[in-house]
Amino acid sequence: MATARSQVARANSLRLFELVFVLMSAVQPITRRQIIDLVSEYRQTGDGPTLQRMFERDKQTLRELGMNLETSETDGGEAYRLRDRSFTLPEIDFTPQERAMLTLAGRVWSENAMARESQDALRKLAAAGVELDAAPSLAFQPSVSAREQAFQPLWEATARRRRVRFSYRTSTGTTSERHVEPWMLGSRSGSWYLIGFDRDRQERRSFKLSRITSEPRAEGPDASYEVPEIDRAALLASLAPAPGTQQAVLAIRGEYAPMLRRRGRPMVVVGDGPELPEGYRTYEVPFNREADLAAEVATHGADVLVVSPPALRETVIDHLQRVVAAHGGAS
Amino acid sequence: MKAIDDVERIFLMIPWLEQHPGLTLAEAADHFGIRPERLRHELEQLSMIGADPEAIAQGRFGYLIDFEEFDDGTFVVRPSEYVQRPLNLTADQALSLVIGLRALQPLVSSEATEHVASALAKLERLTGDAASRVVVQVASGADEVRRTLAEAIEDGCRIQLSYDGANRGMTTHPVVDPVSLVVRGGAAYLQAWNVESEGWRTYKVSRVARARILEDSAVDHGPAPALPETWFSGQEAERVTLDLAPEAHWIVEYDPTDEWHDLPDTEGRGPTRRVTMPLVSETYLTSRLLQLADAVAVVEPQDAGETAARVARDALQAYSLLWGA
Repeated sequence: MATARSQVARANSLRLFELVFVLMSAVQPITRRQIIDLVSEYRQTGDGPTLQRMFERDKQTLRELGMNLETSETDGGEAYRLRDRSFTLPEIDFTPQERAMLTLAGRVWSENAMARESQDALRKLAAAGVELDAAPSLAFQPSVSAREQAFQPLWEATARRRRVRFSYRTSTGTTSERHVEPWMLGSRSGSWYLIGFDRDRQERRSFKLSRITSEPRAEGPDASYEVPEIDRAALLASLAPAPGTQQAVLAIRGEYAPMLRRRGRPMVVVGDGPELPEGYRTYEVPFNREADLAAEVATHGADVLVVSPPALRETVIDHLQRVVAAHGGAS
Repeated sequence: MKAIDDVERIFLMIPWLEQHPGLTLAEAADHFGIRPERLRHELEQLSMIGADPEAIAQGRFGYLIDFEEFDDGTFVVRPSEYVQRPLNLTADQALSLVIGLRALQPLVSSEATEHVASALAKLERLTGDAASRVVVQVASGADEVRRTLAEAIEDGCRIQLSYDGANRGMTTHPVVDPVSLVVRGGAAYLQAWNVESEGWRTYKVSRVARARILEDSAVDHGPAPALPETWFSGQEAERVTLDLAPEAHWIVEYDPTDEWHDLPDTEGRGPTRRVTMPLVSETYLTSRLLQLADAVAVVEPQDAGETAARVARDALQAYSLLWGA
C-alpha cells in the first residue's frame, strides 16, 4: 500500500513540475487547451471530468506552494499565467558571521513542528548557496519550545490576521468561550501568551496558551482586521506583575534571601521596637498583596522577619502556624 | 510523503546538485533521504520535460534540466533558468528562523549581536511583517551581567560570580571557568566549572547579581555535560504526592509534574488536585510547603513535611522572643 501510494505521489509531483515549467516558460497567458497538450499526463488522460478534478487539485497545490496563479478570459477560453517569480527564493547572501548565527538559530526550537520548519528553511538557504557550519560553537545555546497545543493554530491565525475562538479557563477556574482578533504571540518565562482584541469584552486582553482548553478555530477571511501599531515587546513585558505600591520593612540575616534583598533597599530603622539579633540587617521591600509577600517571607523561616507593618507580621505568624498545623505532625 | 513535499524537495535539490558536481547518485540520494533509484528516476523524468518544443526541434536546450551520468558513477545536473532557485521560505519556515535569531540575541556578546541583527534584517526582507508578531523574552538577568558572561566565554576568562542561591539559599561568591550560556524553559543558565569544588555547575543567569572578570585565564576542563532538553526531567528522582487546595492549583503550571487529577469536591470549596511530581531537591519541597502552608497536604512520603514544620517553629520562636507574639 505504502509503495503504491508513494508511486502515486511521485507521478503527481512530476506532473506538477511539468505544469509549473509550462506556466513559467509561457510568455503569454496560456490557455487550458494548450496546457492539456503540453503536460503529458493531462494529454494522456484526455479532457473530461477526471482531468478537470486533477487540474483543479494541481492549481490548488501550486497556490499552496506560494505561486500566484492568475486566470483570465481569452478568445481561446480560460487562460493562466504566474504573476511573478516571488515563489522562488530571491538572491540572498549572508556573511560568514551571519551564517554562524543562522546555524545556531536553526537549533533553537526543540521537539515541535517549528524545529522541522527551521531545518527546512536552512536546507533551502543551503540550496541557494548559503552553506552553514556543520559543527557550530556550543557556547551559546538558546532554546524555545512551544509545547502548548494551541500554538500552531494561533500562529497561523496571527500571521494571516484571522479571527479565532476557543475555550479559556481563567486563573480563578471559570471556563468560557472567547472570540479574539490575534495581535501577537509572546513567550515569557517559558510560557506562551496570545495578546489581542477580545471581541466580547471590546478591549485588549492577554491569554495564557496553557489555559486554552479547546483547539482554537479560525473564522472568516484573511486580513479581516487591522493590528494597531504597538510596542509588542513592551506589551509582553507588561504581563509581569506591577511593582509594589506598599512598603514592608524586613530584617534579613546575612546573605540569605538574596532575591528579597535585591528587590529591596537597605535602610536603618529608627524609633522603638526590639533589638534585632546579630547578623540581621533591615531592608525596605515594596509589595502589592500582603498574602503573597507573607508566603514568600515564610519560605525563609527565621532568616527573614517582618519588622513592619504589624499587620503583615501577624499574617506571616498566622501563615507559619498553619504550616506547623498542616505539616508538623505530633510535636 | 505528499506530492507537495516532493515538489518542494525537487525545487531545492536541483540547485544544490548543480553546486555539488562529482557526487555519485547514492551520495546525493543519501543527502536528501531518498533511494538512489528514485533519484535517478526523478532526474530522468525531469530531463524529459520540455516546455519549448520549437527550441527542442532546433536542437537547442529546451528541457527542464540536463542530466548526465558518467561511467565512474558520478553525474551532473544542469538546470534551466526555471529551476535554479529553491522555493521561497514559507511563513512558518521564516518565522522559526526569525524567532531563533531573536532568542539568540540576548545571549551572545555585543559584537555577535550585530551579526544577529543584520541576519535578522535580511530574513525579514524576505518574509514581510508577520514574523514581527511573535516576541520571545528570556529571563536572562541584567544586560551588563549577561554581556560580561558572554565575553568571558568568548575570551576564555576566569570569573567570580555573586550568586543568589534559590530555595532558602544564600549569596555565594564562586570562582568559575564559564563555557556556555544555555536556555531552558524561558530562562538562561550559565554552565561553568567551579574551581573550588572542581566540578561542572549550572547557574541561573537571573540570579547572578554580579560577574567580575579575573586576571587568570580559564582552564580547559574538556566538554561540559549536555543539559537535558527539559529542565529536571527527574527520571531517577524520588516522587512526592501532594494534595492541592484550589488556591494552590497553579503550581502544576510552574513545577515539573508526572501526573495530576482532580478529586471529587466533597466539601464544596472546589476540587482538591492530587499531583505526583519528581522530588527535585529537599530544599525545593520545603520552600513550597512553607509557601503554601495548609493549601497543600503531603500524601506521600508522610515525613516530607517535617523540615518545613521545624523551620516554621524556629521562625515562630524568633517572633515570640522579639515581639512577644
